[in-house]
Amino acid sequence: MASEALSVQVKPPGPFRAFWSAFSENRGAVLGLVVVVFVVVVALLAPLLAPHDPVEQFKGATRLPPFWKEGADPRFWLGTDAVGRDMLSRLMYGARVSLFIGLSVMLVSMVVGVAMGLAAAWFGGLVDVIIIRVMDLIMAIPSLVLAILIIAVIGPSLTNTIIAVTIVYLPRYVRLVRASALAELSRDYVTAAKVAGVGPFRLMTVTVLPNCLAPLIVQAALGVSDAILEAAGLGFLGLGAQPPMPEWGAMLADTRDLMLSHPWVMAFPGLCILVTVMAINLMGDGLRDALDPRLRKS
Amino acid sequence: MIRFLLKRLALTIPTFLALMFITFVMIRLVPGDPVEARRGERGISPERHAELLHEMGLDQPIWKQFLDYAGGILQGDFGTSIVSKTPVLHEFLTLFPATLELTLCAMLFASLLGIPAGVLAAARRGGIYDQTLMGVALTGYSMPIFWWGLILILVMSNTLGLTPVSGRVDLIKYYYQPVTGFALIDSLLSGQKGAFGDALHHLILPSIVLGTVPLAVIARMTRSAMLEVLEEDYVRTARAKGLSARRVIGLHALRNALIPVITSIGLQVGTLLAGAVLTETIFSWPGVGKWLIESIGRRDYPALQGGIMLIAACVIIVNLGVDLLYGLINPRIRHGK
Amino acid sequence: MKTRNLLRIALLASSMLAATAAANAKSLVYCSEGSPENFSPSMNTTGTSLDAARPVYNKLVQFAPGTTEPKPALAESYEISDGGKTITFKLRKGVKFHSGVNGFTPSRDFNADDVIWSFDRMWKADHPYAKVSGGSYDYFNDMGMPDLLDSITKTDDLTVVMKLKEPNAPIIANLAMDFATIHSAEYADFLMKKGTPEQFDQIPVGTGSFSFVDYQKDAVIRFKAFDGWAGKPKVDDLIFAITPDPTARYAKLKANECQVMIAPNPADLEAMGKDADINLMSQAGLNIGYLSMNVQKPPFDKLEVREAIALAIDRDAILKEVYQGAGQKAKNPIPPTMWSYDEATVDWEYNPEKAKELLKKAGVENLQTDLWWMPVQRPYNPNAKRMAEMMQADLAKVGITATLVSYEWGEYRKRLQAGEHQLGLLGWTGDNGDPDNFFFLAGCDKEGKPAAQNLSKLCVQEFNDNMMKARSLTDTAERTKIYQAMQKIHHDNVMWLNIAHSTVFEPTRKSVSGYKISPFGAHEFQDVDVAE
Repeated sequence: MASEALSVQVKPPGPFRAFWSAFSENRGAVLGLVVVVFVVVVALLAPLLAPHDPVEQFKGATRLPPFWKEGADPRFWLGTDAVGRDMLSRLMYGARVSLFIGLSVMLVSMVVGVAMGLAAAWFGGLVDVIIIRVMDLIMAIPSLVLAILIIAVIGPSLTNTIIAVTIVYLPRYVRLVRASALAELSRDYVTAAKVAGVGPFRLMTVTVLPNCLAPLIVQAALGVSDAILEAAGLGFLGLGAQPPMPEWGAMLADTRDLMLSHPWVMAFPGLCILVTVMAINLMGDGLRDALDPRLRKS
Repeated sequence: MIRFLLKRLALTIPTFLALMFITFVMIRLVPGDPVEARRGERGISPERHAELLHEMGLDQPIWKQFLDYAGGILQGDFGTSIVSKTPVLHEFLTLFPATLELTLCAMLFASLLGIPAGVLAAARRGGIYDQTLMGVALTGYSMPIFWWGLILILVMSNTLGLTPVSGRVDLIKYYYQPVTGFALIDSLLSGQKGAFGDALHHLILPSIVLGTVPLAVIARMTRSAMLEVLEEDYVRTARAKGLSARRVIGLHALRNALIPVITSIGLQVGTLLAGAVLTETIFSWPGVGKWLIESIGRRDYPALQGGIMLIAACVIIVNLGVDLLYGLINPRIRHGK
Repeated sequence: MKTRNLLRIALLASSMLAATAAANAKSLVYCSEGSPENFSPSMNTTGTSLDAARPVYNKLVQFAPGTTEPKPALAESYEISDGGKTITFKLRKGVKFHSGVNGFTPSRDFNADDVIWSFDRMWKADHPYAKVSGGSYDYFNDMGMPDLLDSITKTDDLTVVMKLKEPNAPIIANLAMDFATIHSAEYADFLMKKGTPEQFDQIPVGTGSFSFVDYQKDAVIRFKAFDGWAGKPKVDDLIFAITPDPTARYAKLKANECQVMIAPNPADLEAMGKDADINLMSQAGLNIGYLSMNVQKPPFDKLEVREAIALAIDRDAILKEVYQGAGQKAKNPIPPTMWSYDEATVDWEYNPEKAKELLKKAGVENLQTDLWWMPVQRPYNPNAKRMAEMMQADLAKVGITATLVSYEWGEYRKRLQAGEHQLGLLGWTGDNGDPDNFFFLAGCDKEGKPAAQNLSKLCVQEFNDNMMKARSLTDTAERTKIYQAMQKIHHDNVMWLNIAHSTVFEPTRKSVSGYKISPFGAHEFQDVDVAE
């Protein structure tokens, strides 16, 4: 009797529903998701939401404090920066830049990382050795120094920031994909597929790759936040997005001389970075727990 | 054991050679040159420019420059800084203790707070402590440390006056020559009253800033390692035997949970050594990270090249050490791979 | 072996320290900007390096503190004869070198050999020290000394005769510059015999008011008072605390971790002025920040376009936001404190409407240009990026689209000098107080080709002829007339757009007395005292 009742209930839920029920159990993750969605919406709708043009300079309205401080101007809720640009508008547009950097780095390093990781796992031998050695090399150089060096060679710009950060973070993806692909390759179902005559490209992409996806997705989510932080660090050193583009790290660097006299100008971009990165990390933790219980350890 | 060590060491040699080659080429691909970089508004005539490049040997074909450099490295000669004209190795060894001291203090700070926090969170899993601590850890983990450093200086040094603003020693009260290069040790050696406390005082804020991210990582790691261990049979057995929760956690679980935590601490020392760049910049800390960044700006090729190689060597050695340690603790690794 | 050495050093150091700590010494801490490249002024061009060596050394003539006026120093007096081609220096007697630094004890006083040794090192390729430490003597070459000098000889131990190939009005001022520092020839020999000549540039020995004690890279430089020919300085220990970040320097000043600091943030000036513990000193700087318009890149060859740019840029706003009041709007290429400054020049007003008209007249529409900004803070421009962003917005209002461009500092300057830019920001800080030292920036060579430092790449014949003529004259009144004419030519041709002369601010603690701001941006501590 009991087993009958159970067998009715145990109709497995769809993979997405299973994932969602696991994910939504984690309140932190949901909160993270909400914040991330909020940031994304702000970024997408920045032209509609922003009260001003982010690069317009209001003469005579420079270094204004935010609304709760004395001397604030009702036109500029969060005050203005050193040349009289609206802080709120710049922060909103800054969300675009930061998310764009984070997502681009993640996408590019994922694609390249998957290709290299799979190649290393499949071909083995010399290809494997070369790829792994190159990755070791990248990891042996201090990440920020390497990024700065790359930017010094190719020049500072938004695109080049993305390139530099991608190179720096590539080894994580490659190693991850290679390790999980190697593990999968030794399994029976792969051998079966091989015996059945599935070609190597199809074997790797259709058979092996989907089974390595869970850790990869987690890594990708966390990779977005790491990339945002690293790019902000570069922006802080003046090597990221170029003026007048409102990048959060660069905004911080621009106002460093105002730190003692107008501390609030410095507070907002830093807070934005912190909140965004934190939300993505919360979400990433949730993803990890939901997708791959084995990974909960780390 | 020895064989394992030798094998690992041998494996790092090609990595190192490739590293030398790639950084060498990259550094020379950076636009600009050391002659131009150190000139003011006045500029320099092309003839004089060529002459100075020739004196530095920078007009030679790049492969020849590389061979010369590689030859020097084999003899332990890392070249001479173009800017200060002192040997790169000497300069590195002058600055490295400051970085190492900062890194170790940051790690100490992170471990001393992170491990107990992780244990507490695991012991009260799901409770208010757990949630608060892990929330704080996540905040630390997500912190843009350059901003965090500035905020701390603003609040702690500038507003409250609790900590010194920057530097390693109160220059008016104390003077001791760097014997070991570690301010904490040198201050003790100097025998001056209060010097040690002063050196410690200067280390607090930079250590907190540099230690924030590792602190978060260690706390999270300790928590999950503890949770895992607590589920294992022998812990359950211990509990079933009637041992108190405190004893179980303190004696049995913690000891085993610490293995992965210590490994991760070791690995992080490596990355911190390399990653102190931003912290050193913010606190005017006379370490190697800041030196490297400035060397890029000055196009000081030998300093940059040598600095990267030496740091990479440190990172590789630390990681190797961690591997060995792990192998000692956990013999399965040694034989397995 | 090594450990034993270490131990010995440790013991030595600790015994030495006990001694220094015991005496209740008066210390002055100066928050400086960076590490010096070395301690030989002849090889350096950066203020940071020159500042770090200056306490140790003297020159034949020196600028009186706080002025641009050369005064006798190691030379007791000098005499110019032969139509300005011969200078005879009478040297001061009984001048002592520092003793005990780096194991060196001088056996004799300063004399003519030291003077000749110091100049020959920069001049003669066969000098034993010519190649030591890389041997690039930038300032000596930049000031045209190799072409100018005919001979330097000694008549007796205390008389040196310098012969020039042609008369040169600014020569005495040039000799007061740091590159003309006098070293100890005996110390050089001592190190050569020891086999460590490179230490000559790392551990300095001179005749200056402070002798070198210790230098720790990126951290600190220490000097102690030396009772020499100029008398004992008022503080016992002079300490340079190397602090690259201006905000950190200010915070240190507030905490009394240092008593004098270099280069404050303009944004902090207001608070400094209000601080009861801080004495905010200021002086008009000997500098100019300008915007060059490259006439090799059309349409900037058209005068109307250059005028339009001059009219379109709201320099008052730049003064307010970038300099935050720490500067004055510039209408001439030389600062108003310099002799021959022309008050009569009528400055460009801010008039975007007129600028648009001029552009239309010139037939220029939808102009796309680049606008270069230097990546570093300079004395004449505290924040080039901010300035460029403001200019970009101003230009947009008259229909000019400017793209901001920057490179690493050395590369930036090189590319500007190669004329790759259209609009580019740069500036100049005077070396010796002579107007020629500013006008040469807009000069051309004898064939009428723009010199490298001429960033606008514009050659105005009349301007150049006048400059050459003024150089050969020694009469100040005559030279003044010529320089005033040149300022008019400069303005009428918009040879560059003058932006501002920055004011140099130097905050010190109230306890500091006797500190004077140098117009050249030098930092000198000979006469400085600090109350306990």
